[in-house]
Amino acid sequence: MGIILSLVALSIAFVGGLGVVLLVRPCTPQPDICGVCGTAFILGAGLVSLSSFCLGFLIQGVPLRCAVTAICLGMAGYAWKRRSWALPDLSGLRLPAPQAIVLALVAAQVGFVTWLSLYRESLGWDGLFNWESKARVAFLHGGAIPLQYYTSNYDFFHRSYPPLVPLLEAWIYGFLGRMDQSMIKLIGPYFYLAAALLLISVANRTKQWCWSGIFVLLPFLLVPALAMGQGSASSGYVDFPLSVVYVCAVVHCVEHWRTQSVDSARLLGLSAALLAFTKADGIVPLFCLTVAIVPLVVRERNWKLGAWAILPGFGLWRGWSAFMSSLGVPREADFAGFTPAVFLSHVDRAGPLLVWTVEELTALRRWSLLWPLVAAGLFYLIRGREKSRWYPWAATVCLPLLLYPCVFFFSAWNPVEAHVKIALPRLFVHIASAAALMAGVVFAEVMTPAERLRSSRESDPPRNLRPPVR
Amino acid sequence: MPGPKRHSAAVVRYGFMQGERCAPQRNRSIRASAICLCVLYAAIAFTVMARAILRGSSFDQLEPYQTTDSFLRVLDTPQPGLLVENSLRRYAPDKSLLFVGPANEPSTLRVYYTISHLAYPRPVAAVFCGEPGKSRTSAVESVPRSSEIAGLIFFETDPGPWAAGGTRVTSSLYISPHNGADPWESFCR
Repeated sequence: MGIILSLVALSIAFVGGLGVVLLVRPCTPQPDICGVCGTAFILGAGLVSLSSFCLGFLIQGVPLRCAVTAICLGMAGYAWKRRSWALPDLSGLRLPAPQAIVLALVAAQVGFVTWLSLYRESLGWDGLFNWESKARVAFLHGGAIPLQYYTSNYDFFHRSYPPLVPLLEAWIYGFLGRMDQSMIKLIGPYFYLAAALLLISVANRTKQWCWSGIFVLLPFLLVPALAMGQGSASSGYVDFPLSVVYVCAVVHCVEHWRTQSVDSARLLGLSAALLAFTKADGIVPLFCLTVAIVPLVVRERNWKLGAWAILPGFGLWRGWSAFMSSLGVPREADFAGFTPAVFLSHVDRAGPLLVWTVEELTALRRWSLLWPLVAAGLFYLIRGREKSRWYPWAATVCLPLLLYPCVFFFSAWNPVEAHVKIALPRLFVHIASAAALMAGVVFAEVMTPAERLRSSRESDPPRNLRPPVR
Repeated sequence: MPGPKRHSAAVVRYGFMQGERCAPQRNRSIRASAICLCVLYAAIAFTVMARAILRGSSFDQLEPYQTTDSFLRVLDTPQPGLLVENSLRRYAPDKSLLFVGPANEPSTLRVYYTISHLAYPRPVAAVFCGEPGKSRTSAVESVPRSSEIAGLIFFETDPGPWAAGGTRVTSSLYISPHNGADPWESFCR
């Protein structure tokens, strides 16, 4: 019964997200069902958490739950009404053998991750004390985190951490009517399914589907650190949800580079907005997405695109920071402050940080061959010399790989090695889904030369067909 | 509009496409390398995951207190999370509690944080009792030292004279009512 109620809670979140996606995306004859559903899972989680957070200052308990449910269902209903109550046309959908195999693989892996989450792994230290504790507080206050929580002197862990996942956990608690540390573990598989659907949607875009779709998904499904261990989908940490939110934003960012459509920019903006509301570290991926999109904004002088893609994320991040400052919540003690003086005083950490980073990236036990594959993939893309093909990947996968180790220049831990060993593997989880996607896309291109040519043409369709000008 | 830069990009692309037609041998070797990498990648991932699964143990059933129970396993009783939470219910939500445990016991900090987690909204301070020559006495001042303590939680520590009216939750955990603001170190024995 607990599982069913938890799934009902998560389904309502999904329906809300579906409403948001359908409102943003235009009606197309052949809908990208996997892409829509994958994005809906993520935006739905954000919708539930943001509405619970904002409305929670006004109403609590059953009224809050009803209001959030009404928002989710209302959003979906309104989107459906705008489409004249039309159901998606699924008549043209076929399921060839390769696609059926990929779907079976995904279903098996999601089942495996669900089993790991429920029966194998506990919430873990951070999962319990940093995240579930906030859900507990929210549940005991009718589904909302009260202001006293932030202003009290109770010895809470990391009060300034943003509450997207804890409020989603409290949302499940609300439906269960009790706290249940097992049931909230379903959030990991929920995000895992979202990531898998987004990857299938990318695989679907490679029109020479056949077996190449398997290559898009394989790197993601086979990263051990994404399935098990601290920070994975089966742990109670928020690193994996952050990773999935990021991969969603990356998918829409790459899609925008490919098509320059307004709806992909909007979906990029909405998913990127959730990064800083999921975890404080989300500001690094948000910055990288900004770097990825800025050349398009500047080249096209399309400031509206910049506003859609970048402003929601920075707005939410700034809003959360201002909220914390206004309540006098102390800054995290893990970092000594991000100032040039602190950087200069710790510049001697550069050598050890490089060694620890290389050690981590080559840890087969956690990553298998993911990072060497990513390096090879990027080399392969850059060899093609088309900026539109390699630049978004370089900005969203390689830049965070450089930036994350650099944050330890500002670490207040002494010795810093302990901080690096604990935090760096989990920071790399944030990028791992996007990195696996990049490796998968390159794999698919390598395996299908026709796909490579198509991808080259698609990045600039009319010009590509012209003969060379001599 | 096609500018000079874009024309040159088209040339590069055209050359790349020509190259694809002219070098099927190279394509085959790239594809073969990719397949080998893929197989190696999958083999490593499967080995790692299989070893991790074979080594660890599973939970028997889904429990609401799954994680807190695993953190309180040292209490050596079934469903310790629920037991501790029920034992703390007798204290009003605004009452402060004090956890007393040995500083040199590795599980003390974990047990303290877990009990503190279960005790919410009651604030739980802690004193970790040191042993002369082995460890120092330290404290977590979640509440001011001068504030009234309504209950004492003794973990792996003999409650001594403060045992009166208390409950032995497990062999290593004792919870007793208290009234006053005695120096925290005075509870260490």
